Amino acid sequence: MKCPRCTAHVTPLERACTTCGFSATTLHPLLGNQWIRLERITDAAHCLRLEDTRQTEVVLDDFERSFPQAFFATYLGAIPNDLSPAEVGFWLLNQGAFNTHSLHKRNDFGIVLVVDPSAKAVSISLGYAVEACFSERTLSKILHASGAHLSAGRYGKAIETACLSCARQLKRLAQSSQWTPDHNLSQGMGLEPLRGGHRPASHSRAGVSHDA
Amino acid sequence: MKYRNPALLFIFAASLQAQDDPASGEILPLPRWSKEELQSFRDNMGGLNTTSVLPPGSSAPTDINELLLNPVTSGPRLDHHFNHFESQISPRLQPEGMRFFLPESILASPDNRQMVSKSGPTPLSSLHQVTPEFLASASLALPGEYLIDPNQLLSEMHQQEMVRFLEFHARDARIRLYVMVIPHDRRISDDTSLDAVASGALLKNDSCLLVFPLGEPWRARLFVSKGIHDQTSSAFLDETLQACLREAFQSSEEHDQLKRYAVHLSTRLFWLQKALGGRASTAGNSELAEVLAEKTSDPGVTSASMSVRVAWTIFVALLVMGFIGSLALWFRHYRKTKHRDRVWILAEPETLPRLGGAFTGGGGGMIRY
Repeated sequence: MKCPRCTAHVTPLERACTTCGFSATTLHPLLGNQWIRLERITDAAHCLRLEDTRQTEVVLDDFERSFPQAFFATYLGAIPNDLSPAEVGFWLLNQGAFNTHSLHKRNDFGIVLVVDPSAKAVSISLGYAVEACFSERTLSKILHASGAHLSAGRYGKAIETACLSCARQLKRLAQSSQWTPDHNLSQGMGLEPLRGGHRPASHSRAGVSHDA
Repeated sequence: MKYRNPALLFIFAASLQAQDDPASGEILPLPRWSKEELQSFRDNMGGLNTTSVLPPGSSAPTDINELLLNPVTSGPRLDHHFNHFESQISPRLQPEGMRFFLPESILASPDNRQMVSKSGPTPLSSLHQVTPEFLASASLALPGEYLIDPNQLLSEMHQQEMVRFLEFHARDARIRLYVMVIPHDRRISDDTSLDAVASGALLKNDSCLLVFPLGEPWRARLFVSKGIHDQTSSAFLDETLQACLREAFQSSEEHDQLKRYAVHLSTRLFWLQKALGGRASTAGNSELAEVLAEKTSDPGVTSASMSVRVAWTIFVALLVMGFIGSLALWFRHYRKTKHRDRVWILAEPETLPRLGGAFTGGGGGMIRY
């Protein structure tokens, strides 16, 4: 793995980068050390149109239904000059509270896409559990495919491309099994599961516009 | 010595005279045949070369006197085949040896002929005029020979079958049908006179001459006597030609095409004969008139059949493409349906934390776009 700041090689159990001294604690003065609530799509830069958002929601729904352990989150925003998207992705994945079934692993199965439209940079941060699924070459291909859409201003398409590419890559290393919906939760108690709002699997892109 | 009978004395004297003549060195003259005798031979033999006894080709003698006087110099010679003198009887009794005694028309089996049949039309550049020898052979055919096949393109069986059919037609029809078979790569030019074919019999009776390139019925040309041509509508003749061609196209075998063409033409000639009644007369007619030129019979139906073939090809191609497309769509739908109710479970590896991160330790990458 590489340091988010200097991209130097990082070995396990290293508390800080031996080259630049980067660690999780170095970000606390800049971004804080509080848990933050983070949705799947955070468009702080207001890059996504409503149609893009709806379309991306469908894609993310499919991703989360296919991979119950994992999630794919996106952050679009202008990042301070002294930070890079990779550092922000590192911090988001460690400090963010996402909706996930895997409580004890939590964000280990998370993938965060950070886009800085002003700096024209994009990064993907991977949790410990999924980082082994992506080689450097694969990750580079995904980033460049997404970057091609970003450079054309197609932010929604860029997120969709990155998400689908990650899903394809994860499917290669995952085990498939039959999905059994969980109906244990009583319907009349007014409680919803953490991922209760997921719609059924999208059948086609035509269904994007009628359900948000 | 006393001779009792003067007649016996005369015979004896004559025999002595005959014994003296060879001693003088003079060769006795061979008998010469008069024209009446020659005609009788021809009528009895049914043509010099119809049974393939004589060597084929243009070198066949045209006069029986010439045939009798001159030795045969062409054709297969047995000494060419038996050039060794091993006195083993059994090899000579093998079936292959019988080939030397059988005519070529029998040896060329129908299967072999089908093997050499071509797959497409002969290009125009490869079409050649029929040779003058061919026309000369055709003109030597007797009036009663309705099948004119100087090159012996038809096998023995097909030839006999066609001869029987044409003779059957001639027995009942006033308009005689003559069929001249030419090779597929030959054609008859427009300025070629066919008046002499079948010893000029075409001009003496109401006749119809079919010039049939074997294997290419669309280039068949039809000639009828001038008297019939003048009294028949061109539409009927045109339709006749097209109908015969359609009938020929029912088969892909060249001999069968000829047979179908001739049979249908025979039927049409009966219709024509009935329509004309007794009006058609050959008196004063001195030439043949072609029913339709190649341009009407060939490109019309051929292009029509080609267009039908192209349409079928396009239809089949579209059908196959549609089938493949449907299959692809179904497969895509099947995969979606199959994967709709499936989830993927990732392994949960135990990883050691890095850079102080609880859930990520720098995994990932970044680019600038």
